[in-house]
Amino acid sequence: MNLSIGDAIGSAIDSVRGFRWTEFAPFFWILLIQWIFLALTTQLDQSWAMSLVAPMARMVGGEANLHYPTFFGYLSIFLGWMESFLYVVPGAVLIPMSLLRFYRRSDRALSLGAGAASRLVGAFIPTLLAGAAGTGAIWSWQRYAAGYVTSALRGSAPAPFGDFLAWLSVTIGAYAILALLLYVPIAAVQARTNPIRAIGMGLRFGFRAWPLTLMFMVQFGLPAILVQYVLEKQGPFVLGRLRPELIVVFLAVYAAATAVATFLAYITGARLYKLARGES
Amino acid sequence: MTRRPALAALLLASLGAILAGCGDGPEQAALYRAERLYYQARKEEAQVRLGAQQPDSSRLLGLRSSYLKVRNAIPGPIPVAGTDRERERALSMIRTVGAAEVAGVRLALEARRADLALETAERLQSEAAADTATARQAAFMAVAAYQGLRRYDDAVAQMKRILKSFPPSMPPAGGEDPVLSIPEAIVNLRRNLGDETAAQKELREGLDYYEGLLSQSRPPEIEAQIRARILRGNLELNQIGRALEEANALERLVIATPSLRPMLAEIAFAKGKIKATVEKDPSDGIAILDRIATDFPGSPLAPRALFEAASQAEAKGALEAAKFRYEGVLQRYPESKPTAPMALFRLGLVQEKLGDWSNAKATLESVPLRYPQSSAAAEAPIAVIQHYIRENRRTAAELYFSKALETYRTLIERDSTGQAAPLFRVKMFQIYSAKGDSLGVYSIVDEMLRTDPKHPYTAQVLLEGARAANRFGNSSRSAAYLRRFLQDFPKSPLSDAVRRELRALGG
Repeated sequence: MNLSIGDAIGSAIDSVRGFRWTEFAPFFWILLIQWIFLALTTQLDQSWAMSLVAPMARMVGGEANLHYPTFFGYLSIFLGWMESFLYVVPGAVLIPMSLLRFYRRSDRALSLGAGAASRLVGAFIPTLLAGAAGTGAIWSWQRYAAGYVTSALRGSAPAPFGDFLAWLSVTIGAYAILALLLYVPIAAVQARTNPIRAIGMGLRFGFRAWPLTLMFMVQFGLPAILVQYVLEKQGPFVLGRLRPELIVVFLAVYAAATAVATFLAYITGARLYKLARGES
Repeated sequence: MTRRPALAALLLASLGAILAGCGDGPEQAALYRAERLYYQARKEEAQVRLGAQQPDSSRLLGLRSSYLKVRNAIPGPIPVAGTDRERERALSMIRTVGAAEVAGVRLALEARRADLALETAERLQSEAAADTATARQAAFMAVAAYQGLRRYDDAVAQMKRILKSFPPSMPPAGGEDPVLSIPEAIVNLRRNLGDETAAQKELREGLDYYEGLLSQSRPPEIEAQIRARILRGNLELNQIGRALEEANALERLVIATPSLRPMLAEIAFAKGKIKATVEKDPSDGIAILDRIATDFPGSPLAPRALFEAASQAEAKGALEAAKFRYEGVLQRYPESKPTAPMALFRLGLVQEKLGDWSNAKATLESVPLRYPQSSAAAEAPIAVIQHYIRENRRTAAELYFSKALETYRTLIERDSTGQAAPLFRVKMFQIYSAKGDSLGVYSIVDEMLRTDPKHPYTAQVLLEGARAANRFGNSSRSAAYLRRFLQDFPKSPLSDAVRRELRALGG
């Protein structure tokens, strides 16, 4: 069945209206770890907090960033790496778990608990690989390609708009990559599949529904994009003029917005996938 | 049931592994705490300084206490030992505490609590020995504190200790290591204290120090600055031959090192000054000096060169040319502290010599208003009085006494502990003496004993005050001043003469 914009919008609206805490819970656990970590960063003057954060901070960014207030300037990058890890590694279990809980609404076998564990185990490898590939592709995009795109766009419009356009293109680029891989975990939790088939199906559907997926992902991601923009543009002001610790508040809001947006994107993707297979 | 204890053990082991991997948590946390306190103190100070009013001394001391909290985060001592990371962290700790303590010293000095500043600077010097940059800063702060306490001999001794302890290091681009400017600071201090003999001695010692530095091979940037200092010293001591030799050596070095090109101004200044001094017709030398202000307008030597050209012209009687150049200094470099006040004062004297007394008087009277903390401000009212005396207008001179006294009193009230204040008081003393005003003379001596008890100018007014009191017929006050002189300045070469004078008074 061919998918239309109306299908995508309808699925997105249904996902918001049909929000269920139990389905969101696995994403909340990821969010909770991020919040705990952010809370720890406000206590680095305490030995116990420093003992927990310093090894990670050194591993990601080296010794130089462990100083005040430099640490808060680097925290968003640090959290970015942490977020990638959480959504890729624990996410390889938690994202399929959330999807299975969603499918439990219509799948009688799943609602009885039969086969859920085996489907969760089966989805681990494809989800992990899709997550790792997505992280690698976004990193490569930001490191190698984004520079050319931003310099081209900066020159295309006058100062504030050109800069904004360049920044937006880098962000949307990352969403575009994720939109291609969104359906791999969804395909992986389906019954009677295997990791290779799940990756193939997921990618094929990702390419097929790519414009629609990008549209609803950006729509759900708008609050996170907005917070990210404010943080990147006003970060030096917050660090220099206000309290550096305010960065933590921004990042906590950003993490929450990202968790909700990612959850809604997967649930909308799952609805669309079902619709395309004529299961609705 | 067996899985839960196993999971708990696994979690505990993981946590243990993390904590064991970061056994330096307490030290790193302490450094972080110190950095945060330092950041907060800086921010607090920036906010206070943004206010419309200058912070008063109690506010400044409040800010100081915020800086001093940083030390509490790292009680010390801070050993620099162990692995590279541990050594680097220890140095970061010393630097953070050092920066906060230096800020505390600066604020204490600003709040006129040199005693607190000295206490902190001395402690920091001994504690920060492992970090040269911090120890150096502390040593410089101690000099400022000694000066604030009017302990000038201690300040000089401290500056000489810095010369011995800290060799000059590579300067920032276009700058100079402050260590190299210490001999000049010592000379200026002696001059400000009115002791020209000691200043000349220090100037020679400074030259020896610079020449000693050249006995070792140094990077061209440092060598050039040392040679420039030697050149200036020789010029000041009028050792023309040696100065010319040094100028040529410096020129060779500058030509061989492209990054030193801005120092061509220094060479041109020396050569212009030498030419103007040595040759019968100074016009070539003056032209060279004039060109410095055109070719290197941003150089700190530019106002000095213009002033020097004016002085040379004035010395040779070319008064119009001198006037033009003094005006040039004031128009182009009105903020040049070492040059502009004296240029304005000399302009007044040149106008007087040109017969334009009304403008000369206005110029001289503007010196204390435009440059209130300069020695020129102290000389200008006296120059007006001297003009009336030279013209045999005694009544006008006597009438001007009260205006001059009022000027000095206003200058003292603006900054009663400033460096120029003792000089203003000496000038007031001279005017009261000339007026024969005994109460005025006694009040100035008493005021100086109160405000600057160990100052060489105080020694001078004690002796002159004793003689004036004798003239006024008050031998008991005269004897009291002499006794105080012997008590406060026991090492003075005049002590024997003063004792004899005291015996003659029957004291």
